[in-house]
Amino acid sequence: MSRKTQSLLYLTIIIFALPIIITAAGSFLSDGMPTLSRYEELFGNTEFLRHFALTFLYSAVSAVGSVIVSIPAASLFAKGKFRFRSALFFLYILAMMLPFQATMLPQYIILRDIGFLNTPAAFIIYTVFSPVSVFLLRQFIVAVPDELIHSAMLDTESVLRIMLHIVIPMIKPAIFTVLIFNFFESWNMYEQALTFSAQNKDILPLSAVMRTFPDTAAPAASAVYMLPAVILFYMLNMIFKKKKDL
Amino acid sequence: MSRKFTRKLFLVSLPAIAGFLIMYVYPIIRVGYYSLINNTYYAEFVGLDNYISVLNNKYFRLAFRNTVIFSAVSVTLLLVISVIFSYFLFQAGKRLRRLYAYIFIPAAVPSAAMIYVWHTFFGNSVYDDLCRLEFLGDCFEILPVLTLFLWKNAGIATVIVTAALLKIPAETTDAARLETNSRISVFTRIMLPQIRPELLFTGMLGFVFSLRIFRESNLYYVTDYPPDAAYTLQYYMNNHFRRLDYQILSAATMLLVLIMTVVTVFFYRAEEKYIKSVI
Repeated sequence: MSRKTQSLLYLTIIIFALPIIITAAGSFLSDGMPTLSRYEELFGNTEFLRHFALTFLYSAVSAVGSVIVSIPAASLFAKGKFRFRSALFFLYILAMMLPFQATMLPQYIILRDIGFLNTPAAFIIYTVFSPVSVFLLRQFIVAVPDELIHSAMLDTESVLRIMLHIVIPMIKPAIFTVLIFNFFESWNMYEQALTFSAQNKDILPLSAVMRTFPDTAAPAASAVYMLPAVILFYMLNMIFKKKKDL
Repeated sequence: MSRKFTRKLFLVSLPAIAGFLIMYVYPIIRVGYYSLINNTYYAEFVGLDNYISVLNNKYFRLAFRNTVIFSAVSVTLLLVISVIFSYFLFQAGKRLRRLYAYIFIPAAVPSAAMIYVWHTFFGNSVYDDLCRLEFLGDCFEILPVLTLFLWKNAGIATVIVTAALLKIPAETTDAARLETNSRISVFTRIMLPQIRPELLFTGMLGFVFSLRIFRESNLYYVTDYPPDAAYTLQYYMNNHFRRLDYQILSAATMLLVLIMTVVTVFFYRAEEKYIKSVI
């Protein structure tokens, strides 16, 4: 590969990194001087930390809950044979494709009827039953050999045990992917939060309250908000590198 | 699998399936019913009246047109960019390719944290003047949101396309190289046709993401009434939602569900044929 294309690649990487670098750098600068004043203001005078902790809680509960709920259903679609299987799976794919424009009113109505509006449950329940989790996990469980499950069935009657000892160990990378995906879907939640908790601003996740922080603290808020994503992918890259070295 | 196994599996899946049907499917059916009546108090059947008034509404038409244009433009650009990146990345060595693990970061970084940078780039008086240009003004109005979309999603698209290119057996390209010296013509004529399923999958993914651009759009314009060119369906839905126009909103919802059902049938068929080989 020529020098020219190589430098071109590095250039695109820098362009993609630029917004993140600017945000990080901007948070430590004020009037052209390095300072921590933005962070002092952010942590001292705003509700940032509380919203940060809440958002983390919503994301963690949603991600873990979704994996636990979805593994059995994903196995059913991958390995079970029953009438209406493809019809039901089609509904899952359709739900996965529907944008929030189409689901806003239906979801609002059901959340209102079960009394979840303006409560944290409204931010969590849709991710827990997320069709994306079922879809992704199913794609991986399909690859688990039937013979393995058959031979396990000779030893135990319990489906849960088969899940725990056969299925789950074989789809660990998929579980990890779904956890990360769901975590960041919740972490970035915006319009759902504004619609489902219009009357209770205290519990809103970070995206929905970023606007309320004063301009002087906003760069620091942005920097801390993006930190988990940056750290996670840095760590992933490290793990990836180590595995390649072995 | 045996009947008994399926039955047991069904029992443990019941919470997930019940939750899904109650939270996702049932309310859509109910909204379907609302779209056919005049109001929830009298509940008189009015046929397709609500649908007709939605389709005749000039804001719905504007929003629909803008959404279609945005999706078409953004998905096309996403595919072009990811194919160009992949072309270079494919030739790059392993070491450089590994750097691209970082390209996922933009997808996970919250847009709300990036808006501040986009405002500094585009929120100045020079750029405002560009937006006031006749003919081209609309393009400049949309550009910030479009760049945010591409910045966020180019990584995933590139990784999918590059992974597909790496799976192509070397023999097919070696043979073609004997006939022509042009790397680009080998790429476009021999390699790209072989990764059609992955390109289709990337396009579908991009389409689904493009419909979610309201988040970035609303964060960027900081208002429920953005410039005309940026007025997409989510704005239309939001504004009716605030006015409690449930019947109109129900009809608009069902129209979108119908359109997405058609798209999903296409995707489902394609999934049967292609996508299984991708994921």
